[in-house]
Amino acid sequence: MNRGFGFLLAVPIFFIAIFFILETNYIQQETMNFEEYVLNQEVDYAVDAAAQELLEVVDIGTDYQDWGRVSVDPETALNTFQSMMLLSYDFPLTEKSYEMLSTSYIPIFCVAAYDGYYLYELQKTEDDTYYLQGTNKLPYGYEKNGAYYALNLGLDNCRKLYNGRLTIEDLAKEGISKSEVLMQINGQLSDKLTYDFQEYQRARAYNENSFVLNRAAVYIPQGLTTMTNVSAVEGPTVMAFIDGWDLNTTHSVDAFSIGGAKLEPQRMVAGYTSGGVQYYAYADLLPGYEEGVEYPVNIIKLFTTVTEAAQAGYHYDPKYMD
Amino acid sequence: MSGVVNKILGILLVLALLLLMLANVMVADQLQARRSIVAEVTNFVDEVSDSGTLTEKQVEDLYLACNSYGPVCNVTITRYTRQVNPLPNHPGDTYTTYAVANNIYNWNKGDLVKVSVDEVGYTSLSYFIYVTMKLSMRPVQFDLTGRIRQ
Repeated sequence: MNRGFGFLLAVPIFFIAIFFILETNYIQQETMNFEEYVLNQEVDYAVDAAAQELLEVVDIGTDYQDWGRVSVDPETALNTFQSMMLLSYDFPLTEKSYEMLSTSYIPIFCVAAYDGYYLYELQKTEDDTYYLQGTNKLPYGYEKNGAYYALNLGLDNCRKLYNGRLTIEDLAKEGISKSEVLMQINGQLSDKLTYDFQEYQRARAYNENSFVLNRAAVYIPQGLTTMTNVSAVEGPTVMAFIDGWDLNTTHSVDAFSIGGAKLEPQRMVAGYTSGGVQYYAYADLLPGYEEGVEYPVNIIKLFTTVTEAAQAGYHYDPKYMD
Repeated sequence: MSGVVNKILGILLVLALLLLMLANVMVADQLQARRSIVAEVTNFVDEVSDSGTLTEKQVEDLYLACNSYGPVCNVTITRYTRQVNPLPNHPGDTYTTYAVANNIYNWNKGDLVKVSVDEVGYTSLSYFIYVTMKLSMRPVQFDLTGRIRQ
């Protein structure tokens, strides 16, 4: 009888042991999911910010029609993206932090511009260290009926190379539909990103003698869907990968995001001198004008962006901007 | 004699099983609370970055919302001002830095709003589980940063 009861006791002990193992596993899984969720949110914010920054630095007199003249500076986008990621994980904005971030966690960073895209990838130097190297602008090429086309996001015209002649043609005249252009551009970007990311994974697995390959692929909705809120590439934007993120997380987690942003009307920036120093501030933040009272600052010039003001030699004025 | 010992052991094991069930409840609660807190913070960051304004009431609402799911959280809102300045000795070039500002009720375009959430207190259930079984979860700790659009 007693021996039988002893056997019976083994059952709850067995249960408890299994329970602990499963529970720990479950908690780990869920913690990892949670961390990945937070990282995804943050990468979304950072990529959005980078895309906005990219569009604000360009000339703001543009509207939808003038996209051909929008030139983007991918370096600005990368810098903003990195700053946001560093601030979110409590790192100081120093050279060393930027280097740490770009060499360890960002395998690919892509800036899709109006008529081509820039790609930042990790390159190996001779002394076996990695650095994030940008390409020059790669065009959205397309081949149809023996002619070569360079497409753009304006969805209006394209450049055509045929029989050795380079011309600008209307899309309609060439028989290329708008959805076809979007499909080509999105398809090219997703193929390129997928291929490069897998190459990077393979190189890393080879370096670390690991046989585990992350067969991640990038799917960009190709402008053919009727769903709303799907961020396909329809204008200049930014795409970023975060790989093996292990800062302040229990496991290394990954994230990918496409930025969504559009051109907006501008808030004017006033440049003035105060105490012999050139300062700038948003014009609406300056004090109002009153009859008979001397205006405290002497506005010399108006700008559309703070970057422009700074380029003209004006400094950030904490007195009015804060 | 050993029969008595076995019976006592059996009762203890049953108690332990009951506690473990509570542990499961605690974990489920905590995980749900975490997601809800992240959702609250994303809502807040979206609101601020889209509108470019922030009132004391919104801040109070955020504090209350983050603490209404169980874990006691310390919520901090930081404003980083974007400062674009001319690069010394390089006319035409600029550099961008971000600096912390004290005034969080006035925002400019390009500023960053950072919300940090740190768990400072247990819920009663998770404290009980921790004391009885030393089973606990990693405290809630995350930051989210958004950029002001206008």
